[in-house]
Amino acid sequence: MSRLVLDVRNLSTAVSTRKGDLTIVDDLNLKVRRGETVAIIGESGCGKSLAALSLMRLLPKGRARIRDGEIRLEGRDLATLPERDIVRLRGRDIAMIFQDPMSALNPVMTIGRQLEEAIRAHVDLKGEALKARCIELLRLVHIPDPETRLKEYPHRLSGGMCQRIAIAMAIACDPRLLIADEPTTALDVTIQAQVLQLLQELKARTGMALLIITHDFGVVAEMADRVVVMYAGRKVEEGVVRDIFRDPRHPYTQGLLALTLHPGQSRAARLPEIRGVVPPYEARGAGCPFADRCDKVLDVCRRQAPATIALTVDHEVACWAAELESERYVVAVDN
Amino acid sequence: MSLLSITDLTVHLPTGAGIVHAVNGVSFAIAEGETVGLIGESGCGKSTLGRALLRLSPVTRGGIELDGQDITHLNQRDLTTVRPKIQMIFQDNAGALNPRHSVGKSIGQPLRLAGWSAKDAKRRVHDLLVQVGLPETAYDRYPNEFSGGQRQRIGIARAIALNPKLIVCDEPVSALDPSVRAQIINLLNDLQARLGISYLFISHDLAVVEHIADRVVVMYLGQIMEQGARDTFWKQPLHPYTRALLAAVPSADPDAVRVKSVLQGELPSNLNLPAGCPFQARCPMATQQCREETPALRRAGSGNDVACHLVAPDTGATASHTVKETDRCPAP
Repeated sequence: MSRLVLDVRNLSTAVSTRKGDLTIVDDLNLKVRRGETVAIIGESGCGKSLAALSLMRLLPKGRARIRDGEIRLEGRDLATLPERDIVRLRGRDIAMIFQDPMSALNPVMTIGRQLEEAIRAHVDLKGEALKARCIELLRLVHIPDPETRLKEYPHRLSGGMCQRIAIAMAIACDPRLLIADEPTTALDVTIQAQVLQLLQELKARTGMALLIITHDFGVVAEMADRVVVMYAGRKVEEGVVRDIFRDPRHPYTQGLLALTLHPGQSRAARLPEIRGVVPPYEARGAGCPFADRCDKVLDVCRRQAPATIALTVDHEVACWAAELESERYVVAVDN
Repeated sequence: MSLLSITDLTVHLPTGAGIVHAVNGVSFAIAEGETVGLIGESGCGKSTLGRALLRLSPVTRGGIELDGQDITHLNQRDLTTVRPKIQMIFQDNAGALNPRHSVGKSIGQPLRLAGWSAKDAKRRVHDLLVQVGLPETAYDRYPNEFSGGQRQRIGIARAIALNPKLIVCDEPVSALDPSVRAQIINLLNDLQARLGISYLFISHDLAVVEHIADRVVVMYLGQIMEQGARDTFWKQPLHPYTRALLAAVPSADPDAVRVKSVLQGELPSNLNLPAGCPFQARCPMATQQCREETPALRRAGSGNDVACHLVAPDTGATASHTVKETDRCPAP
């Protein structure tokens, strides 16, 4: 088994509101190995993006903070590292791309200047060498005519092109881990296919690990080795992609998979629904946050949140019903 | 007889940079109670076409006939008598509602404009709220108090207020989470079954269109590339562009082949339309003929109408040969 790049333990992130602190990411455990692609899947408001921002230590100051836990990136704990050390790691060891590529770029700086900035943050390159590296990066992300593009501003480029530029900036210093937060949600299906293919190609070339955040099981099937399903700030299920698709154990995972539309589905049947919506954070009690939407809800679900148990070596689930269903020998996971 | 038919519809929009050729000679019809899915990439003119049907975009050439009446050149006053028959719901459901108007007022507005009394309108709005699955207490609340899915329900309630015959749905579920998306699609289907409404369903999500549409129209650079009934369309798509679109959808099967051919390039600018076939610049099979002659929409062997020189009209054998070729897209 290859080495861990990222090892997140019991991460909790809280957002401060007028009514006090709300825990948005709740006791998250996450491992990413070298060269591996892990997908975090869940609907809006499940805490996926806030978890990613916590890993980057990019939480908005004064409004959100890491309350507990460790974020070990190749041994160092990012959760407690002072800001000036984080700056040295960000971009070099860990980098991120966002959903909206247009607003991820600075509209009043040329593509070239932004790329140079991203490179010079960590590498001492100047003049021709710097420019050559910029052009090389644009070639890597398949931007046609890179010499001309360097002098242009982001508004001249399409969303797909901007996402390629953002990817070029993110990989400028060969990070060990790239976090991609819904990288293709804003793009057309043809451009999505191009960007996903590009990410796979870059991964194969550099050996970096990829943590991809999405709400689309199609993207998961296409890209990921392992999946983490999040609901209401908690990890509810984790496993190897094939296990999650073939044998999902948590009712939320089952619901999400049933929602994934397949070609050739008959129209006569109504689409399966998950009734209701994700509960607001302030309205959560001690029980399982999915209880009100769950078809398999038990009495215990409303009283006490289920612990994460291991069904097999690499399949974990946090659900009372799944625990009962499972005839296999189970042990509580302790991290 | 069809409910709506458009003939050679053309919408050219003058801008500072030149004329945007948004829609270029599109003809199709929608029958009563039918759902037509309109798919294509961003910028292919599908939204402009939808807006033109409501006369919200200027029509440069061609005709729109709704319920036996030519509405292409109606003036604003005459349009008010037509508008109740054709309504629209939008992707950006927050932007489509006035944040300062209560939900009751927003939904009731079309009724009041159509001459309903305040009392009747209020009763009708309460009825509509129930129909779209919202609590009646929503009446006095404001759009920002609702989630995206609930706001889309408000937009749907407003659209069906005057019993329209046709609703243009412009990416109604694209901004919604999967679980909410399924709820809204089921609601649209239920309403259609109950009220007999026709939909023009504009979307770039092929899976959704496959589920909801009786007939599918594929647009590229403001022109129809392929169209067909649901039975034939998905079974044997023939146009290289349709096939590329279908191939681009990530398959929800982890065992599917991950390395696949991907359509390269992006939609070209519609300021200056290319000569010949609109798709030739990205088409892996383009020939000299494609660069010179614009292909007409012809009935192919599959039963779909296809605008492609390489698809033989109405003979299955050569067509299926062509299909194999499209699987090979050039490497980047």
